Amino acid sequence: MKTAFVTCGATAPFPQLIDSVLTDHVLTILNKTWGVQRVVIQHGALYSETQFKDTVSKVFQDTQYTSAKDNSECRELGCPSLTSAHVTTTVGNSLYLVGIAYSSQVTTILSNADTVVAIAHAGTGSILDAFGAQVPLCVVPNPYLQDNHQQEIAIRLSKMNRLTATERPTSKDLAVALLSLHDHMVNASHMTKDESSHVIPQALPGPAEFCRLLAQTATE
Amino acid sequence: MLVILSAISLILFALVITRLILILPFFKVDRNGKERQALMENGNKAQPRQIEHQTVRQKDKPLHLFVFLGSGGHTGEMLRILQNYDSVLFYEPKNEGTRIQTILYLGYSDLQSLEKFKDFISNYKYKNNMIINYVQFIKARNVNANMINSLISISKTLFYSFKQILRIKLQMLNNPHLVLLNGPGTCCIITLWFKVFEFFLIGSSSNIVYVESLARITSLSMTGKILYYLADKFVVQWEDLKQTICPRALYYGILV
Repeated sequence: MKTAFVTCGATAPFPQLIDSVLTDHVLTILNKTWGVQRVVIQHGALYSETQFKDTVSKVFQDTQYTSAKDNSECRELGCPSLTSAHVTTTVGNSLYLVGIAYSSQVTTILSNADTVVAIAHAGTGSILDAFGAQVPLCVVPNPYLQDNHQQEIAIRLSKMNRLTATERPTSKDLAVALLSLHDHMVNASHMTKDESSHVIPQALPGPAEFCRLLAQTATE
Repeated sequence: MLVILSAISLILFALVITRLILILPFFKVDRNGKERQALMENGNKAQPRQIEHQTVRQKDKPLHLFVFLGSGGHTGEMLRILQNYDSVLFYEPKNEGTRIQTILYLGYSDLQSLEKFKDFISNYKYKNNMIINYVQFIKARNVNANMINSLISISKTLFYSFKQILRIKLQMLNNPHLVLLNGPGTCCIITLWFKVFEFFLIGSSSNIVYVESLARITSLSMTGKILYYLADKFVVQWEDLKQTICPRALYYGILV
């Protein structure tokens, strides 16, 4: 099942990101443009299951929820329990939503060939995980952190064409970013491997000189 | 009497200043950095040279390595550093003999980081060449915490980490050692104690390498601002920082 993975970081809560994803507009784009059938949302322990259900119910009334513990999907997603629901957007796109508090298998999920796009806060951990897995990444900087430092790295890396960033944490901005990221990936698929290496995210190389610094510093 | 007292205090004062000059980073001449910079300025792309392991393990002693896993992104970046630079931090013994090559002191303050580390180490290729000592610290400051709460947690961390760092410092004495930090706040306290012990244990070194977060491009984090004046090697991952606000920093490109 083609999957979109959404994560908002473990340290500070960022409900605006989840609210932006769980909207009719964004889910329609994920399904129609990206072909996503399942949206896995790692909402963090600071965002409760009830909150997750409330957010979904606000957009899709009369949704039926299923809670699961220790089943095969939990093991696949590396989490002890999950909450899931089937929803249909106003234009008739149906999606399967999965909410999890915390996954210990983020890199495995991202590396899965079925994971076609990742939506994350602009924390370096999430960004580097997505780069390592070479999955198209759309970041939503969390503006409520010290010095708004997520914005800075998001802008810089998007200028380097390694990801697409939204300006504000809103569904409108996220929708635009997801569409432009998709265009980007389509263009990249027509390029040679060498050209596309600048567009498709990939692990950043670590310079050998830092090794020398470490070796020389580790004296008695 | 007064004259003698003032003379003694003056001598003490001079000694303290001299000691501070010796242990603080601003007065150290970084020959390697200059050499490297000259190389870069010549337009040569510096060739990754073979690292001479002998310079690290002169007497076949194991490396005592202290690493602090901050939280969230800090932990993520640190684990990537351990992964990317494993050849120098943990390397395989030359022959099949199972000599322990690295004694790792793993500092952490949240269980999620510990879990991540255990997950990481279970697949790590050098896991059999090291002894791991887990050291739990109290988080010095929570994200977006207010002033009073921060003050309380900082003093708690200061108090409890004194003994922990002292024990590690004593183990490191006369052994090759390295302290690898990348934030957040708790690192300031760890550095502070290492430097205080270095001050009193004449002849010892702290060997603290601080790597500023990849997220910092035009400004330093709070921890970075403090450790710029304390860490022995201060490394940034974006050139903008070195060019604008911290010229003494080392820049090698993105490390994580």
